[in-house]
Amino acid sequence: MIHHVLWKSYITAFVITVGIFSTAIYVSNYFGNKKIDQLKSIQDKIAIDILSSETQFSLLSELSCKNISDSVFSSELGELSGKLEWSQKNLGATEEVSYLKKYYSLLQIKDYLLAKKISERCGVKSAFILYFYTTADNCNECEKENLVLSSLRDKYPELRVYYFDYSTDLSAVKAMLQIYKIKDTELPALVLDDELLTGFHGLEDLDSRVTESFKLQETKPDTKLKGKEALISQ
Amino acid sequence: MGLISDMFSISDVISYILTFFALYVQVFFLLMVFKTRKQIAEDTSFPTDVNWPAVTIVVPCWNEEETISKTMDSLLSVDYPKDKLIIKVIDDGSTDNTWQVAQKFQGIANVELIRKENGGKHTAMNLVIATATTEYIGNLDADTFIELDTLKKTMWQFLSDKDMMAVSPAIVIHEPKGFLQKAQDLQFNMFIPLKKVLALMNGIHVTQGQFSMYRKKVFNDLGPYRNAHRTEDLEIAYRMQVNGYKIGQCHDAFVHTTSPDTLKDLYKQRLRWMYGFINNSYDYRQYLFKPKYGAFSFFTIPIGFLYIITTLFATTIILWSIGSTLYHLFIRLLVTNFHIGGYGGMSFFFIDTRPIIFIYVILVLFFIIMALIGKKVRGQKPVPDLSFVFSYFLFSFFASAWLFKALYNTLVTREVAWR
Repeated sequence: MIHHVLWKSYITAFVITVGIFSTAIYVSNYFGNKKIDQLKSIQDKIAIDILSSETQFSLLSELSCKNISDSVFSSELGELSGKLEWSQKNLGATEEVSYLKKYYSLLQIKDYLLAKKISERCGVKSAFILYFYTTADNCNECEKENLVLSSLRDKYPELRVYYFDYSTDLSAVKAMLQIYKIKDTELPALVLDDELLTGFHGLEDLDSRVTESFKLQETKPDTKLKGKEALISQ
Repeated sequence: MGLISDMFSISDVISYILTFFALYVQVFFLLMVFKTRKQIAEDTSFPTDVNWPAVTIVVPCWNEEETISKTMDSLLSVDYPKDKLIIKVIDDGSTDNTWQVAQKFQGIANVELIRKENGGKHTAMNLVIATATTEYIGNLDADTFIELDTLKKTMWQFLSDKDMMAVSPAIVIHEPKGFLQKAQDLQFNMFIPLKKVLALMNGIHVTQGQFSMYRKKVFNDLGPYRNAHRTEDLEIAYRMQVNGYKIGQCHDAFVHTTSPDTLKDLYKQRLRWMYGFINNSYDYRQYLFKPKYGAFSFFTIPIGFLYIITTLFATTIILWSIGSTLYHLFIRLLVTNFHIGGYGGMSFFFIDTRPIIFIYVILVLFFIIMALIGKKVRGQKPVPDLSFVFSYFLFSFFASAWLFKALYNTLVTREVAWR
């Protein structure tokens, strides 16, 4: 075969290969952006849910607990954490993802404060865990703790777990780290009923603590009872 | 673009570079097969009144008692003037009944039986070449059979091109049975158009022992066969390429070869081939990447190494991710007291959509296209079947076993067993 014909083929093949590569990158970007959009829309929904709950709660002083039900808690909150972590790992630590993570942390804090208030005021059975982790590769314990918490969440729908990445660059998260005196050497860290637990805690251990937390609530004084009566009377 | 630039780690960079080259080679071959489709589809035809030249066929054998008769029968019944065909069976010190079995061909006018002490296949062939009187010499392994028109079609390549110095026929697997042989069958079929393309590029790097024919001038000018890490058929082609001797391929002259039917035998065969490829390429390293030596030095040998590196790298990545998935599954079961389900779940969101996944899909697609072309070249219906899956996994992943061992043996300079 004549030499220049061969060279032409070498170059044509190169151009086609570059074309296929560019197309693959374009398609991949397209799906990546779709996923980011999905995350955004979930967060928007959560924001509306929380705003709605806050508004309801403000009305509580005038009305009673009867209008509050479990549905005020945004159900997407837990699901979003997994998706965000996956995105950070697979779509890369892009600005969009880290922005979404900050926003997510903020939403969680708001949800936590609100849910705690509602629970105290209306005696809705619930327990709260604040979970601090790091995405650093060497944190095997974090990975395990994550699995334990997921398992617990499945078991107790009334349990609300809030996930905070230690490295989130957000003043509200940093304030929480200060309040609970969490150091990056002691991760994973959990806060349950204002008690700080550092290092890995297994399923049995946390299970008993969560059950304990539920009991604590039941023995709390009358504000609870009132709420319950209100619910029952409905 | 931030999305792309942030996601690269070192192993990602290597993956993408290797994938780019692997894709390039596939695209190039498909393009060339497309460009030369007419030549590939064409049957070899020749006039009826050709004055066929005399040919010596060497049948080297070492412990081939089971197949030697069939090989000889196919040679004796070949469509070629009997007075122009000299067959020399050379028993290279067999320890089984090969010599006794061969005796039944004693007395046939154009057959000569020779027995020598074991010295390796190349010594057997050199013994005959040294005394050969014909202008053309070929060799046929004693576990291989030819079709009636194989010899004429092969010889026509020389007669129609005075520069042609050696010709390889199209090698196919003899009566493939079981998944292992079906996988090899598909691979050999895929090689037929690829080798045609390489031949048109002047880039063939092996003239297999399965009925490759040479002008005697090749041995007169370049010397006899060498041991060459027990792949003498590879080395002679290398030697011809660097000396500018043209090697062709006849894509419709079929040779049927018996193939390994156990993984262990296949492993041994491929290990020998790969070890030979690596070591002969190393011996000829001064001829690589030199424009003077054309496609052989710029394309064929480099893509051989690309195949080795890519396969080993991909297998490492795959084993690593399988290991890590199993590890995580185990940990998950352990910390959650074997509570399964509820977590994560299958959602479109968690499907991997990195660019490499799409390129990988394209690579598999191209493999399927090449396999279909391979089937078509053999006159089979171009429809995918299970052998595609066998072949893909065998030669993409399992191949790492012999590739790794061949590299390892090269590094510790240990010779491989013939079989």
